[in-house]
Amino acid sequence: MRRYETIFIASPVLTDEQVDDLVRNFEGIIAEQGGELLKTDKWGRKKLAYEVQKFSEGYYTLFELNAGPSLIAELERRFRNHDSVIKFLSVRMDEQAKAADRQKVRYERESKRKAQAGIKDRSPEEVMG
Amino acid sequence: MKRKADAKGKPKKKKAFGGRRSKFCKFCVEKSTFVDYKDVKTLSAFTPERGKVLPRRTSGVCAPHQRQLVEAIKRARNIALLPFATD
Repeated sequence: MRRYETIFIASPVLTDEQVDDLVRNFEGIIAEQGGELLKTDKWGRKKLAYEVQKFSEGYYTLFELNAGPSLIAELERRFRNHDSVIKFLSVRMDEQAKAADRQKVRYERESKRKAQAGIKDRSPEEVMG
Repeated sequence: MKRKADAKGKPKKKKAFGGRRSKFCKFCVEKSTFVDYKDVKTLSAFTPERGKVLPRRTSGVCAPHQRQLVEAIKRARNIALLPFATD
């Protein structure tokens, strides 16, 4: 199982109820295919940074899920075939989390070294002033 | 060089990184371990007017964080949170 974040943008011609139905539909697919949905975040209607299929607005929805690669492939296939989904993006997060852990260790080592050398850590407010 | 903690006089205006002052990596100061592509507010600070990525020599962001930042900006563009280009 891998950790993913999937965002999709639903067409602005839909009503709020239709978007809810759409989200439930995709949640159903995730559950059915053995994925573990951690969070569903509806951002609501947002302006797009550029036109997508001639639309300048869209309903953003974010899924955080644990899933295998085949589920993501299936989910993306459904997004592609669904007329109401105008854009989507899946990002794998577990490797990023590992990298974040490594970086955290580096930060700790650095602050320990600084403490030993007697250098005081400047607070963010002080540096950015 | 140490800067005075309590500078008197007129309040410092928050200037973009183009202003003359010592550079620092914003992400290192915040000890950030991951630049989030969903955080439009942070990302747009590094994509001025035309929507291009602000170079390191201007922003002062360290190399590892710049790599993360670029990745995040590209993802944000893909999902229409940030523009590819604006005129």
